[in-house]
Amino acid sequence: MLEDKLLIYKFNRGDSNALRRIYEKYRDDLLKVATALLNDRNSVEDLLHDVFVTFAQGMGNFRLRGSLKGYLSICIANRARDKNRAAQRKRTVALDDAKPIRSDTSMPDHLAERNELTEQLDYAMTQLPYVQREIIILHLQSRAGFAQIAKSKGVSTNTIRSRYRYGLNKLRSILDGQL
Amino acid sequence: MKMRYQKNLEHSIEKSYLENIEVSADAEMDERILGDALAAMEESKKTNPAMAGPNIGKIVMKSSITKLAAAAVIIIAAGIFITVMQKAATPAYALDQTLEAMNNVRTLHLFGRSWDNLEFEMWVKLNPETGMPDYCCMYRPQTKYLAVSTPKLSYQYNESANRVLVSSGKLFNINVAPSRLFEDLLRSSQMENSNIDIKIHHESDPQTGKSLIVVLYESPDETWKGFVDPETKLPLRLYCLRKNNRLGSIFKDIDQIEYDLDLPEKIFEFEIPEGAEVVNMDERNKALSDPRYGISTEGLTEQQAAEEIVTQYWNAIINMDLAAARKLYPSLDMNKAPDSVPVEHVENGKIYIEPGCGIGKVIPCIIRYEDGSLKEWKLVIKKRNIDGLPSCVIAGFYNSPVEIK
Repeated sequence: MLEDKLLIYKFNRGDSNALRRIYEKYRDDLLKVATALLNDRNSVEDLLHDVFVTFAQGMGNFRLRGSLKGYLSICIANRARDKNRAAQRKRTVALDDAKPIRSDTSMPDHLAERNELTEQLDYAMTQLPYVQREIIILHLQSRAGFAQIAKSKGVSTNTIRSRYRYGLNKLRSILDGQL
Repeated sequence: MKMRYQKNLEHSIEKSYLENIEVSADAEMDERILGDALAAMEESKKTNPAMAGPNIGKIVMKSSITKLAAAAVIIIAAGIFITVMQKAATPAYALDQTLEAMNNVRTLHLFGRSWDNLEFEMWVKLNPETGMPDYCCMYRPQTKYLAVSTPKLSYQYNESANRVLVSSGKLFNINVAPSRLFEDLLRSSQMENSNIDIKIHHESDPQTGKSLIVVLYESPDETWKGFVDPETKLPLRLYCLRKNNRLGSIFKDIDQIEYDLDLPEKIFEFEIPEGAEVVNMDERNKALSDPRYGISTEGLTEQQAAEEIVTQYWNAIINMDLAAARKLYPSLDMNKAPDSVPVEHVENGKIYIEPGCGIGKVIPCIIRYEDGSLKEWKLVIKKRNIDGLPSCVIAGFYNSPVEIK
């Protein structure tokens, strides 16, 4: 929105408060994206660090296309993919290793159900190919438009839409129609 | 995949997965990331020629002024300075060059505070032919309020309420008539037996140490202290030291103004946020011409008519008769609970023209609340003549109420 345009304007003119505000505004959202996409969750902070330092280096020439949150989230996603590749390992939490669902009798049923659903979704997301998981996270968490994602990846918007749809279909099959 | 299932799945991912991702942020992490990012930014400044230094043409100005749109404020400032220079018989160059400098301005960028101490930032694009604001956007970060005014459509967005008010044309409090404003100021200063006092001297700018022209403008209603850059002849800073009744006031302080900056990209474009409530103000405004609303003003003076309608309105509000209140003020949001309960309509002020308020004249009203506090509200009264019958209606409120100590 307008605040982001103003922040970018000031940022490009060297206003450190603008950079600080951008960081504070989107830190938590970006941490979520990083946590959802990185196989090694210990690297989340480093990922955010790298993205912001690179972003700061672009001061003076940064041009915003689409939403700022979407842009920064795409940067996170791109670096997460690189880190995952570099680490050559995947987060493979099997259902057996998943945290046990609390079964306290004092817990309201709807909370217990929600935890179960969260665990199922958490597992299902790890089973998705990265390219699909990435688009689902960017679209639903960061509100990045398909066009903005497509442009950043140099592919067509339809390709991104298809990947998104395939991702949801795969999630559905993993969850076996439980939703 | 069926659409409904997809929606359910998306909703579940958002609510049961994404919202439950725990993130841990702490001050140490912030310090490390921000510290390195700021250092990288400083490094970029050294290699970026655009950051080499201030553009001489970009003049920062600080001031104190009224509650008009910021563009109007600048025009007022110019008017005051022009008046000042003439009355004080200072060299004509001050007048002419200030005028000329203002005429050449194409964009304005302002920071400041209003009388209710809310900060604002504003961008204005002036029409090169008329010098009038064509496009304007104002943002108040504390209330998350954004106003974008364009010749075709204007938007007022309340981020906290996620509500957008959309209206045709420019926002009335931005669409000022500078020539009229200028003429009024000039005329008042040139009146014989004028009790306006103008003094000019030089002062050192505490920020830069530079010697500036200082103009002190004093009338029975207000006192201004203005600073002019002796080189550019542009108004550099204005302080409103006193303003009785705050007539014509929107902004109290303008802490910074820059001229002729490149506008931020798409600064005057507004996209309606997802899920926002959209209110068509044109539809609401139609009610202002609807004879079912308002009161007859036959046989009443302008002051009497204004007092009558606002007295009826406040009595209806105090008695919680919202239907009656809405018949006087058709845009009244009947679903909005008041922040505090009004208990007494204490008095009305004199109706007056608020520069920049094109809908109608404004009448101040003082209202007492149940906690004993007093607030001054300004109600905009629209006069009408429908089928030969004079009437009036309350068009709205002019800015936020001001608490009276």
